[in-house]
Amino acid sequence: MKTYVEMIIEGPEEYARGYVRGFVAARGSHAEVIFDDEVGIDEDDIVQKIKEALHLTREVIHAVVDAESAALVREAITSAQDVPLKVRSERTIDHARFEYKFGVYNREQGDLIINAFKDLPTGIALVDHDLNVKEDPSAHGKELYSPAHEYSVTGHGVAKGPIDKIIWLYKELTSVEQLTAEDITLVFKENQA
Amino acid sequence: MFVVSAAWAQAPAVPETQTPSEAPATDVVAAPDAPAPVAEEAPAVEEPAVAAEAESAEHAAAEEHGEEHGGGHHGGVPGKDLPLWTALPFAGILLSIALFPLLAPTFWHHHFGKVSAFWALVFIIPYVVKFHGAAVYDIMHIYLIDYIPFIILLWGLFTAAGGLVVRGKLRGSPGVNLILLLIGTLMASWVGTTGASMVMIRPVLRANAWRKNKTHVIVFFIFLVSNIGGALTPLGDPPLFLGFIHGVKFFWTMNLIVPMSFVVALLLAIFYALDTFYYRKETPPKEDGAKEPLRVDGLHNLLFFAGIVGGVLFSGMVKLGSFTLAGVHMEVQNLVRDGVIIGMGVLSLVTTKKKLRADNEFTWFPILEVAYLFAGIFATIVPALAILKAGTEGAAAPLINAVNKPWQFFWVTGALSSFLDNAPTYLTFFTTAIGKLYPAGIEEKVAATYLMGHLSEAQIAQGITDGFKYLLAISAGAVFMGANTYIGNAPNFMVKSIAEEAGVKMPSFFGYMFKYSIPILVVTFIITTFVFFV
Repeated sequence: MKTYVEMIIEGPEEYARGYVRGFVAARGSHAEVIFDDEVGIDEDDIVQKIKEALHLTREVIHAVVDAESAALVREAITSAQDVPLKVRSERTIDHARFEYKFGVYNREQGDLIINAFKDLPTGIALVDHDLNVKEDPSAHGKELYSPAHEYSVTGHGVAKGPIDKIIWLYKELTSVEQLTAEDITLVFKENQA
Repeated sequence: MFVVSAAWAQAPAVPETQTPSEAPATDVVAAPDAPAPVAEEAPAVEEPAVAAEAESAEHAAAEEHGEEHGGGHHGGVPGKDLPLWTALPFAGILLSIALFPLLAPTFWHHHFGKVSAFWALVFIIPYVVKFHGAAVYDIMHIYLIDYIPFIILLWGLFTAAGGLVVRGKLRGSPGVNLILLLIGTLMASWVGTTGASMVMIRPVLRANAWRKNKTHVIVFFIFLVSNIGGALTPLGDPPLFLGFIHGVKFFWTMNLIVPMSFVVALLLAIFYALDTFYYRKETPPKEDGAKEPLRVDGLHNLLFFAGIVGGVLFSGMVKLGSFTLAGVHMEVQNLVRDGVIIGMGVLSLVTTKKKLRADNEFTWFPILEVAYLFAGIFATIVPALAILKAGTEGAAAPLINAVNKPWQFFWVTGALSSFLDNAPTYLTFFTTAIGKLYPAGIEEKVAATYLMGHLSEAQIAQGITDGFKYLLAISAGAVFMGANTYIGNAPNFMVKSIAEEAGVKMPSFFGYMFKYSIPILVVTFIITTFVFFV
């Protein structure tokens, strides 16, 4: 199993992202670098959280990097000269988790959700997972005062597992519009009992 | 089918204290807080004062012949004798409609008819036991004068709209979305908010299928097409049709064109800005090959809409005489109107290909919902209307005394229309305004004339209140603010449900209110209040 680290980088977010991606690409590296604009990663800094909510430029961003490429990313950051960037912290990720809930009334999207949970990669565990598929032929058509859906897939739960698998599942599930996923919470090695 | 002049309904006891339209219209005094009469605001549809006086005279003559009139206060239970709790079943059914879809949707979907019947019987049985013939008269009156025409109109509009299918696929850019919303808004006053929503929602969904951020498009669709667009004619929104049945002229609602245009312009400007913001964040689809020009199938149904408009207009302009049915005064031209509407609906059914209705996912379920639920609403509203009509002599005097100015009517009607169905809410405040501004017992049609602002100089000099701004405020509040929540107007839920089935993530009940209606609509209505109703 690959090991990943979380790097908290200080600096204007778009510049930091662009610089690191450009640096890694220029080196011809296959480093896995995932920033928190691609998947929601839980931010513990309240100021940054507010800025994120307001779509303002943040000065702190989170990146998940495979441990083997961490040195390369560090080098990229320290070599940035026009705009100062800095690695505030670097922690090894033990696993990750996120909560989800969904209410889908469209068969195509329902199938996407059902299949996503069916073919879970090894290592992912679902906690308190609940998935209900209901068909009610009497609800076919439109209603004005007593809305009901002919087909529904509803449920909720928590997905837990290795960060790379969790990120895959997160992207898969959030491609379905009617599924709501909370930001991914990272659990670090040093936090483990 | 009906027995004309049923004996039991002809002789309900009218207590001595009741003073129906025997009180001459000229005895009316201005309410203390009423605005100064503004003669020029009254649109010159016809010689209003003459018309009102003629109606009064006709009414008095009819009374001499022992006939009952449409106002509904002659044979019924006097409102001033009714305690407030008799309106509890009315509150019960409105709250059931508001809360069950949110709290127990599956139960509600399968049992709403029984719940409606329950509330109706909870009211009707003790009411008839206590008041006998007068109670039966009240119930017959509201069914014959209000409920049946109401259902026939909605059935006709729904049937004709179900034959119109908009095909094709545009690309949901801010400009295209703005035009689609504008078309739906303009259509709503003529085919009804339900019809316009039914016809326009699928083209809007198809145009925006590729977009990730589209929830706001559907929310603005609910604001504009499912609600505000229906303000201009009695066909647009059920509350206005109830106003028409109760004496408001067909084209009077056109007076709402200025406040409606103001609200629509503000909302479309906000929509365009918001949609442009989200549109810039979208990744355009790889190819635009799926674009297909819009076309409308079943266009001949527009003729049937025209026929329905004609039927309704006819009933407002022509008098063909009257007769008494089960003790209730019936106007022949209204029966002709209902016959024309039924005819238009039948023609639409016969001449429209079944495939078009299938493509629209047309079923009779929505009309059955309206029929079952409004059977309960119209039965249980009887005591509420009677109490309100009794004005300050009735048990609702505190409410009547508390609501004084047009802007207060706008907000009270609107606030209640946000959470309760707007048709009965309109009727409630229409009656409240009559109870407040004019003496108890005034002929409803005469009061409606005054509410429309149709006053002669002599009547103004006599101090009769010009109710124009009041009726404008009540109409605008009922129609506009039905958009404030999902439960404010029937098409709101229908649009939400269709959008969800198309894969759009719609906000929750409170999400809709806190993210959209409070910051956008309520703020718009506050501005509207200062511009039009203060």
